[in-house]
Amino acid sequence: MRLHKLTFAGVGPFAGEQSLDFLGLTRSGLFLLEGPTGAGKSTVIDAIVFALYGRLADDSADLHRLRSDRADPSQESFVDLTFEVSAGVYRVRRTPAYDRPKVRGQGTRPVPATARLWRFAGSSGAGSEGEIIATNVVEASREIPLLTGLSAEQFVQTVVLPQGKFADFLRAKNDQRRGLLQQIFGTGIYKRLGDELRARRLAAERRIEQEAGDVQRAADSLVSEAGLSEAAAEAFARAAAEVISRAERTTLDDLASQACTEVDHARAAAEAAAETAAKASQRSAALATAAEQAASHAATRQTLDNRLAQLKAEAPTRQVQAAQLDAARRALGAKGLIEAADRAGLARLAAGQALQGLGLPLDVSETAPFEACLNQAIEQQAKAKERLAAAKQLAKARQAESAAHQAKVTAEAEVAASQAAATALARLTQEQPHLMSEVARLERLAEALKLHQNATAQLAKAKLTLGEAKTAYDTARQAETAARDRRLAGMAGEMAAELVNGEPCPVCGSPEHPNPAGLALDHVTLEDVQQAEQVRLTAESAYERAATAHQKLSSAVAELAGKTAGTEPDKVPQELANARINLRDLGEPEALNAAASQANALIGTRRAELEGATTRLAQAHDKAVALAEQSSGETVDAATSGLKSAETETSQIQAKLQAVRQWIEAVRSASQAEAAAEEAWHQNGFESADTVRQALLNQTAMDQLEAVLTADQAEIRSITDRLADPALAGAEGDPAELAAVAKLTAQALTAAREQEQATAGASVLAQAAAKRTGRASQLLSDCVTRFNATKEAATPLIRVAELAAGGSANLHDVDLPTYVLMRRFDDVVAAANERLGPMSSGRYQLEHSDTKENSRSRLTGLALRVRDNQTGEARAPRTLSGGETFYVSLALALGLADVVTAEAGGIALETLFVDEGFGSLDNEVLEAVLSQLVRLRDGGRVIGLVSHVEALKQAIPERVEVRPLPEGGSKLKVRA
Amino acid sequence: MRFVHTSDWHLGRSLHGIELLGYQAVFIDRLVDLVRTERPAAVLISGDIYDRAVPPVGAVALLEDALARLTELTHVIVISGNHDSATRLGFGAGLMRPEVTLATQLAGVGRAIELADPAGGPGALVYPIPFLDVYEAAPALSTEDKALPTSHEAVLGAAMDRVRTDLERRGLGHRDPASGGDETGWPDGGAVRPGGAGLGRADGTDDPAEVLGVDAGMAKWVASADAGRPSVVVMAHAFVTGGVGSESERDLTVGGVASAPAGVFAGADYAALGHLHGAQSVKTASDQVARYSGSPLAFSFSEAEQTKSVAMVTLGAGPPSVELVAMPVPRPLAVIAGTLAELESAAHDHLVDHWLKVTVIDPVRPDDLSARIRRRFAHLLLLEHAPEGISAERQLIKVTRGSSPAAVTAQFIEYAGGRTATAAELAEVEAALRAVMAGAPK
Repeated sequence: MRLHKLTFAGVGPFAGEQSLDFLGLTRSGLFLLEGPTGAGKSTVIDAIVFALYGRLADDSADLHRLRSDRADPSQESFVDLTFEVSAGVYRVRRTPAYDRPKVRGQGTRPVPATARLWRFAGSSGAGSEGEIIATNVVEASREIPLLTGLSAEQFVQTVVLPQGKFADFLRAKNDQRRGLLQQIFGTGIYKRLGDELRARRLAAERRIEQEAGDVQRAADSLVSEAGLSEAAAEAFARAAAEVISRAERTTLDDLASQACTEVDHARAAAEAAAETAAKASQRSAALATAAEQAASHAATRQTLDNRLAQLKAEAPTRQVQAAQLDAARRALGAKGLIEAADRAGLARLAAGQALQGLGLPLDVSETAPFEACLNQAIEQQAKAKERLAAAKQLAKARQAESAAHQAKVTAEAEVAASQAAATALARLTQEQPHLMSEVARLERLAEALKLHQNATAQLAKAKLTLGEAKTAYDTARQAETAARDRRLAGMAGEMAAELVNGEPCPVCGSPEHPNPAGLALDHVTLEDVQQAEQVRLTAESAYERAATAHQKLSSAVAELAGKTAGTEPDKVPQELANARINLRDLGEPEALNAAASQANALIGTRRAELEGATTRLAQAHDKAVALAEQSSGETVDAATSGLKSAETETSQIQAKLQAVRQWIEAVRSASQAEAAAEEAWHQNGFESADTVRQALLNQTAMDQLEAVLTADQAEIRSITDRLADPALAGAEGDPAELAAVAKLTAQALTAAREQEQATAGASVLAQAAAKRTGRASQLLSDCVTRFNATKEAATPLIRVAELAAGGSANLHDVDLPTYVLMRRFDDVVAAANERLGPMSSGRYQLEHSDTKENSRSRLTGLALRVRDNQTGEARAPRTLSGGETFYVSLALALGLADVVTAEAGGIALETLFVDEGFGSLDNEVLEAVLSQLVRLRDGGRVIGLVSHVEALKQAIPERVEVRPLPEGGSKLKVRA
Repeated sequence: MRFVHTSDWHLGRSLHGIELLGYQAVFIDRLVDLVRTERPAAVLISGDIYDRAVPPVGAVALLEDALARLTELTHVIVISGNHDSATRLGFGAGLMRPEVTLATQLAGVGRAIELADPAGGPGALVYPIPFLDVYEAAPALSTEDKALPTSHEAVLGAAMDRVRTDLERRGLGHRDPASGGDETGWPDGGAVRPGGAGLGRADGTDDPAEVLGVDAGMAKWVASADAGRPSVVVMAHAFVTGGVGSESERDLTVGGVASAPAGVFAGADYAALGHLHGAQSVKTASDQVARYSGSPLAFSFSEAEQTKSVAMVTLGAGPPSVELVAMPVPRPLAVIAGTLAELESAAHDHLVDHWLKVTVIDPVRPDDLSARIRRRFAHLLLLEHAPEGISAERQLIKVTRGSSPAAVTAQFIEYAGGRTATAAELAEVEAALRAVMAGAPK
C-alpha cells in the first residue's frame, strides 16, 4: 500500500491543521521526520495508524492522548488520509472521541468517534469526488483491513515499526509470525488445497470401505444362496478378508466356483425327481375318472325314478287349487263397486249425525225457511252498527270540551306569572344606582387608606432626613464658629505674617518687629473660614428643605387620617369586592330596561292567548250539547254489545242452513251407489256381497297358486325326458358299491398329485437357487475387481493428502501451508541477510530454523535464529543487544517488504515508517545502516525515518521538520 | 605558483572497528613536512574534514593542531563537506588569523581569496564553494523571476554564477582560448570579450593561431601572458558526473539525482574537488582541470587498490599541472577469497600483516571457521562465507511471483515424502487445485 496525503488537526501537540504530501516525498524515496523530543514526530505516525485502524501505534497507549490539549474545545480533531491499495485509491477521515464542554451548564459531554471512507474511481484522489463506502466507525473498521490486507497488529509489525516495538516481529512466537506471514503472503490457497485434498481422501476412503463392504456382502450372499455350512462360510469370510487387505483373490474365486458347481448338481437331481412323479400322477388320474363316472350314472337314475312317483301322488291337491284361483279372478271384478257403495253409506250417516247435533229432525227436506231467517238476521246486524257509530261521536265531543277548559286555565296562570316578573325587574332597576354609589365610596376609601399608608412611610423617612440635616447643620455651624474663633485667635500671627521690616505695624505702628507672632500650626485662613461658612449655608438650606418637606408630609398625613377615620382598613377591600360583585350581577342598566319592556310585552301576549282559549271553550261546549240531543243516549259499550249479538245470530242461522243442504245430498248419492253394486255381483255369479268378499284373494296369493301349478307340470315333463337318455337307461349296478370304488381311486389320485407337486416345487427351488448362486458368484467377482481398481486409483491421492496434512508419512512434520510459508520465509530471510551483512559488517546472519518451539507444537518451521559469525554459533534473537536488535529488525522488515512486493498475491508494502531506534547505533553502524537505507531510494518506495539523530539530519536532505511553537504546540514543515 | 590540494580527511573515522585517528595524525605530520619542504602558496582542503557533524574530541584537537602548524607555513583554505556541520566547522571563521580561511557559509560564495605568487606571477584567485544543502540553498539563490530547481546542478550552477560575476567585476573575463568566443555558461548574457588587445574578433574567428599565424601552444602562452591574469581556482565538494565512487562515500542524492555535470565549473582553471575518496580527475569539456584529490587514507575495502595521495598543483601559463604525492599507508588493505585450505596455506603468508577482508568459499561452512581464520590472519576485519555455486537448498524453486501452486505443491511432495511425485499424484493435485480455484475465487 502507498500513502498519498495526510491531513490532520487538533492531534497530539498540533493544534492547527497540518498537511503532509507523501507523493512529493516519494520522489526522493527516503525522508526524515525530525524534531526535538516531544515535538510530535511519533504523533504523525500515530495519526496514520489511527486513520487506518482507529488506534494508536502502541496499542497500550491511551487513545485520549490523540486529541490535542491545545485544541479549542469546540474544534474537532480529525485525521484525513488518502491511500492507495491494489483495489484502488481510498480516503478515510476519522475523528477521535473526546469530551466537549457543555454549551450550557457545567461539565463535559462525550462526543463519540466518527469515521468515513471514500473510494475514488480514478488513480488520483485529488479533485474528484469519491463515492462514500462507509459512514461510521464499525463499517470503516471492517472495510479497511480488507482493503489493506493487514490487521492493525500486522500493520504495526510491517509497515510501521513503532518506537520500542520494532522487534516484535523478530521476537514473535511461531504462531504469531505464521499468522502475519500467512496474511501477507496470501498462502490461503494452499490451506484450501490441503482441505480439498483431505476431503477427497476421505471420500476415496469411504468409497473403498463401501466397496470392501460390498465384497463382504457379496461373499455372504453367495454363501447363503449356496446354502453352505458354517465351516464353509468361515472359509469365505477369511478369503474375503484376504482380498480386502492384500488384494489376493484366487482363494475366493475358487471357493465361489466350487459352491456354484455343487448347487448345480443339486438342481439336476431335483428336476429328475419331479419328472417321475408327474408321470405317476397322470396314470392315477385316468383310473379315478372312470370309476367316478360309473357311480354317478347309477345314482342319478335312481333319484329320477323316485321323484316321478312323488309327483304323481300329488295330483288331486292340484285340482282343488286350480278351482280356487278361478273364483278369485271373478270376484275381483265386482270389488270396486261394492266398495263405492260402502263409502256412500258412511257419508250419509255422518250428515245425519250433524243434523241431529244442530237440533234438527232427520226428515227435513226443504231449505227455504232457513234462508228467510237468515235475511232477517242480516238486517238486524246493520242497524246495530249504526247505533254504535253515533255513540262514539258523542263521546269525542265531550272530550274536546274538557280539553278547551284546561287550556283556558293554563293561559290565566301564565298571565299572572309574567306580571310578577315585570314587577321584580322594576324593583331591580331602582336598586342599581344605590349599588353604584356604594362601590364608588368604597373605592375612594380604599384609595385614601393607601395614600395614608404611603404618606406615613414617607413622613417617617422625611423625619429621619430632617434629623440628619439638622445634625449636619449644627455641625457645620459649630465648625464655622470654631473656625472664626481660631482665626481670630491666630489673627495675630496672620497679621504678623504681613509685617515688613521698616513698615509700621498696623496694630502698634512700630517699624521694627522684633518678635512677630508666628502662625500657629493649625492656623485658620480666611479661605478656610469662608469654606466653613459655605458648608454651613449649604447645611442650613438642606435643613430648611428637609423641614419643609416634613411639614408638608405631616399635614398630608393628618388630612388622610381624617378621611379614613373610623374605618377598619382590613375589611375595606373585602367589602369593595363584594359590592363590585353585586353590581356586576345586577347587570347593565340598559339590559335591565330592555328586560323590563320585554316583560311587559310578554304580559300582553299572554292576555291575548287567554281570550282565545276562552272562545274555543265555548265552541266545544255547544257542539257537545248538540250531539247529545241527537243521539239516543246510548253509551258506546252498549251499542258495541248490541252489534255483537246480532252478528252471532246471523252466523248460527247460516250453519243450520248448510247442514240441511248436506243431508239431502248425502241421502241421494248413497241410494245410487247401492243399486249399482248389487247389479255387479249378480253378473259375476255371486249371491251376495259377502260371498264376493270371501272369494277375494290378494294378488300375491293368486300369483303363488299359478306358479305352483305351472312348475309342477314342467317338472314332470323334464324327468320323463331324462329318463329316456340311453346312458342312464343302461346304467346298472348298486350305486353305493360303485361309489366306494370311485372313492378309493380318487384317494390314490390325490396322493399321486401331491407327490407330483412336491417334486415340482423342489425342482423350481433348486433351479432358482442355482441361478442365484451363479449371479452371486458373478457379483462377487465384479465387486472384487472394482474394489481392487478403486483402491489402486486412490493410493496416490491418499498419499498426497496425507503428506499435505503433515501426517505420519511426512518426513519433516510440516504440512503444506507451513511448507509454503517456510519457503517464503526463506526468501524473506535471504533478502534480509543481504542487508544485514553490510549493516553488521558481516557479523550476523539470520537463519530460519526447523527446531520446535516447544514439544507440543508439532508443525513448525518458522523459528528464527541469528548466527554470529564471530563465534560461529547460532543464537536466539533475544540475546542481541538493543542496537543490534534494531538493525536486525530493520533488515528483516526490509527483507519482508522486498519479498512481499515481488509476490503476486501478496500485499505491496511500498511505504515503511521506522520510528526511532537509530539512537542506539554507534556511528559506524549508523553509517552502514544508512548506506543500506539510501539504496532503497530507487525501489519506488517511500521510507520514512523518525529520529533526532544528528547524522541522519546531515545525510538525508528531504525532511519533515516538526518544530515546537513558542506559544505551545507544534507545526510541520516539509522540506523536499 | 603551487598549492597543495587535499580533501576528505574524515578525522575521527573508524574502519570496521579500527580507530584511524592515530594514522590520520601521521598523515598530518607528513603533510606538514611536505608543506615545509615545498612551500606552496596554499593548502586547499576540499571538504569532509570531520567524519561527522559533532566530531569526537580527539579529531577536533588534531585539526586544531594541524591548522596551527600549517598556518605557520602557508595559507590554508578549508571548505565544509557533506559530513561536516558547516556552522560548527566554521566557528570563529572571522576571528581566525588571516592565514586560515574557513569557508563554510553560502554568503561567502563569490568572494575570492587572492593568493600572491611568491615568485611574482599574477597569483591566483581561489573561490571556495562549501557543500550546499540544496533545500536551503536553492531558495536562497533563487531570484525573483526564476526559482531554482532543487538539485545539486542548479545550486552549484548558481554558486558558480556568483563566482563568474565576481570575475567579471574584476575584469577577468572568460578565459578559454581553445573554445574561442562562444558563450558557454554565462547566464547573465552579454558577450564580455576578453580584455586583451589585439585578440578581438575580426571576422568571426577568434583562434589566436589563425589570427596571429603562430602555432597553438605559442598562441596560448601569448594569450595567457596577456594582462598577467591570475589563475582561477574553484573549490567544491560534490559528486561530478564521470567520477567513480567507492563504498565509503555517503550518498548525496537529492530529488533523485546525486551528481552534477562538470560543465558547471566553467570559468575556472582548476576545480579542486572533494567528496570521492579515490584520487581521480574528471573529464571536462575544455582545458579546465577538475580533480578529486581523494582521501588520505583508505576508508573501505573497495579502496584497497588505490594509492592514497595529495595533489601538488602548479598554476601558471597554460593549464594547471598536477603531481601526486603519495601519503603514508598505515597498514595496507587486501581482499582475498578461497577455501579454508587455500587460505591456510602459505600462499597468503605475505598478507598476514594486512587488514583483510576474507571470503571463504567452502561449500559447507567449516567448523570453527571464525577462530581459525583469526588465528591465521591477525588483522582480519571482515569475514564472510559465500559457498561457491548454489547449494542444494537453493535449487528449490523460489516461491515468488508467478510460481504456480501446482509446481510448489510438487516440490512440497518431494520435500515431505522423500521422492519425486508420480504422475498420478500430480494429477490428483491438479484436480484438487482446479476444484479449489473454481470453488472460491479470492
